[in-house]
Amino acid sequence: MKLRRRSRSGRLAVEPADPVAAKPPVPTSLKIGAAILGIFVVVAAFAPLIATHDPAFQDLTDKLASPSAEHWLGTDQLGRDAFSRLVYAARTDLIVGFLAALFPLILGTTLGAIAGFFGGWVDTVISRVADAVQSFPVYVFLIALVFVLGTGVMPILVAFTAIAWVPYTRLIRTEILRAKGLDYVAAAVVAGLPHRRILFRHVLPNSVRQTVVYFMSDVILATVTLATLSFLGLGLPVEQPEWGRMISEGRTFLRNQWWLSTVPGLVIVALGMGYALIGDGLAQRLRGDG
Amino acid sequence: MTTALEVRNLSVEITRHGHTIRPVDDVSLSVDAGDCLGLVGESGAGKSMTLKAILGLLPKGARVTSGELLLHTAEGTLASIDPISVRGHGISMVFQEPMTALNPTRRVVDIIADGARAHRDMSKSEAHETAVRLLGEVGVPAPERRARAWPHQLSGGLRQRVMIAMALATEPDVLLCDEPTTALDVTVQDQILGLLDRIRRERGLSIIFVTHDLAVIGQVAQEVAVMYAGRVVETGPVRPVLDRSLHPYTNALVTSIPHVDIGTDQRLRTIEGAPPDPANFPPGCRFSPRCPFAQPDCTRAEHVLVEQATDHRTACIHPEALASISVEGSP
Amino acid sequence: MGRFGFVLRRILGAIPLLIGITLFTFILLQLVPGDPALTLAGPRATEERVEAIREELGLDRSLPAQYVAYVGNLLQGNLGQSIRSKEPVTSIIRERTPVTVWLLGAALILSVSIAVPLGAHAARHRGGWIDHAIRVVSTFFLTMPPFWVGLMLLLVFALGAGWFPVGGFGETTAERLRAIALPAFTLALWIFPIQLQSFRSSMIDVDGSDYLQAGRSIGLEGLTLFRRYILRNATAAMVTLLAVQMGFMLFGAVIVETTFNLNGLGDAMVRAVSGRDFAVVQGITIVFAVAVIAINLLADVIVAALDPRVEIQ
Repeated sequence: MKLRRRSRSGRLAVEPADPVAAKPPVPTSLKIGAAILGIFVVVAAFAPLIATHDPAFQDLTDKLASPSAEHWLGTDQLGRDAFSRLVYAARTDLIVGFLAALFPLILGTTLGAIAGFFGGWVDTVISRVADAVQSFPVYVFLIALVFVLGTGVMPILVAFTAIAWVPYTRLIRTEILRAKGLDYVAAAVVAGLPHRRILFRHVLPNSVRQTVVYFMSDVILATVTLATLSFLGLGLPVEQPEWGRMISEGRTFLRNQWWLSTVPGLVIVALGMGYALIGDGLAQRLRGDG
Repeated sequence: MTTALEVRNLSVEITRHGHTIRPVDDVSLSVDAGDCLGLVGESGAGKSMTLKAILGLLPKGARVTSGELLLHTAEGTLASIDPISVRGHGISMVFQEPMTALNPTRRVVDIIADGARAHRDMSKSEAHETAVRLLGEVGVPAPERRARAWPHQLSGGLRQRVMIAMALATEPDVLLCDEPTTALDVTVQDQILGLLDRIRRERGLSIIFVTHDLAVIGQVAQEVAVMYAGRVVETGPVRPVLDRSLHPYTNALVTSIPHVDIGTDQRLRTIEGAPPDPANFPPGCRFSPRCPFAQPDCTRAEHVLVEQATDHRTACIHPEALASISVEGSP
Repeated sequence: MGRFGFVLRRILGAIPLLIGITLFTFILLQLVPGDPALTLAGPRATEERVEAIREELGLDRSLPAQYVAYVGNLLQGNLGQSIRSKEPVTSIIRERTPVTVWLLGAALILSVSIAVPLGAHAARHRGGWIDHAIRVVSTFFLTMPPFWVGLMLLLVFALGAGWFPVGGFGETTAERLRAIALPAFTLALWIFPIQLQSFRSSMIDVDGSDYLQAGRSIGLEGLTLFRRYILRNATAAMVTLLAVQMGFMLFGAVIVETTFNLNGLGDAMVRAVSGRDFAVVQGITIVFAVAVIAINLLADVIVAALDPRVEIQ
């Protein structure tokens, strides 16, 4: 709180505002989000140390056990330790979800940069394809695509990349065209400054924030989509521990072993919130209002 | 002369992130019936904010902390009124941006008819007729046909005429104009100024005309009030204030435009330094840091408007310094 | 005239899209591993039998010829027949469409009735704690896998409280409403956050607009101001968003129908995928795609009616 003081003339004196700090403070949401993601990364990296059992080991004499000191989250229908599977699944979901969002970012940014820099027919072709993908009911084709490409990591990455690259392309292209229109950039181009420097100077700072926002919502969507495809039986191979599949397998036992489906779902939500908070925090920080 | 509208000691405060600023500080204005008061100053001086406070249209977070609004009544007295109650009843407003101030999803005729029906009960067809008649009055060609148009189908000048018709539909006594010509081409500006002057005379309307452009003031106003950093620093009849300014700020504004009598769309950016940040107004006379005549005691000056000539008031405590210079400077 | 022209242009613009969809599904068919004739004939069929089926399906012809035949069949409403049940795909679709339409309709109504009031509330108190709380809650729902939400709702309200059936549809409207309630709610929870954010920003745009101030300045207030100045301006963006969300909603319908054992199109599609029943996958994909395009066209018409400016965009 700043002190306000009224002088006798009725004038309002306002204390000078704090000098603007060189860097805005790290937003709380970013801290919490990074902490959540950090936990997931540590769990995934040290899965063998954290897991209490071999995630693939079946003990058919001890099926569908309730949570106990031995099996923290009980066992599934094949007598596998649910907690250990949950821990190992972090590897799959984290990596696939991340890659499924990273590929469209790389593809979209590259295409956008190409369209923006070269212009002409290259730009026309890329923009038209982007329009077509945008107006195409892409999610409808996701299942058909997986059907054709078969289950596994690759089809999911391909399908997601094919869907999600457009916004990045649009963003980068627009920013480059905008930068090209600025007098000082035009002058720099005439002066023979290499294109790459223009990109780094004028396009990156303007597009980073929106890119982060897109990427974070894509990671969430990709993670949920991966789990969803597994749930539908269209995802990863059966043996591979994956949260969506765990939920799917636990579904039959929802009435009595409700935790088998519930816990992996909670884990997905926690990871999603972690991503969302990081996205929010980064966007806030890049906007400059901590 | 009877006073149509009087604003007494108006202050507006905005609190953001725990800091309170006061963009309008103890402003008093009055406009006589049938007159036009020009309210002039750089952007950020608090002119628009003053105007919006009169109709209770302040943006979120801004509030009136003191002040009284007095409106001339049928009984011939000034009565204290509430800003919201005068909307559609006595005071209306013409906005700066005709491109954005008309509802894009409503036909021109309905926009104007809304005003007529807000003012008093009338049938739909009666309001419709009123709207078409007003379009004709504000100089829209082929009013019956234009009435059916959507705002985006009209040019900037026509939109501003529609905006004026909308304001007139409520049959106001006082019209508030917030830089109504700034967004328009110079030739269209002149037409709109001529229109406002005509309806003022024909209807006996009082106008408060906000602008940063002194040339415009010279064209339309009888009285003028100059604002700087949230305060009125000089008031008086228009010729004395423009020709024999008693405040260095007014003087700087006047000398920064080459010909007061022709319209110009030049922005006033020739005064040295920038207008002060409302979060950090200088002490004493707020113009003193930029003032070429500043004396040491200016930073301790109390803000009081003193009458130096008939009806001509200034807040400057050293008007004599300015007077000597302008006599020397003028041919 | 201008707006009519806009709608006409959109209809014409849909034609290349429809051609694209037929091409896409046709190419998909070519990419499917394995020989459809072999699959159809079964493992113990003779060489001649396989050859006969191949001829029957037209697989011995050139690709362009096959494509023309394929489009010709589509235009006649012939989507082929299921490899599993030997039923025509069109009759499978006809049978299962009502369930999906019920689900989508109910989910749409539910999601909009959650998103609009909350979005308006968040916009009115933007920057305040209510706005913050609404954003956190909607993000929360965005991160939830819909099938999991469905299972949790089943666990609590069907298995636990017993208020709703665990799965299946019904005959009477009352039965159907009861059966559709949890699935529709599940779907609504997945799609409302984006609607909410969009409506919130439309409301903020309108709220900060000059024309709203102008409307206020002539004394309009309350319901009149809302009806004449806010509603139309804030809904146009929402209508467009709902259409854009349609593809996403259909994906959601696939998930939710599987979760709740609803015999809709999505459920049929998932079953067909696991049964390698390509004709059914293809048929439903086409129906979904055409539905999405049709809904988008409809949305364009509605937006054109709401906003007179569309002709100049």
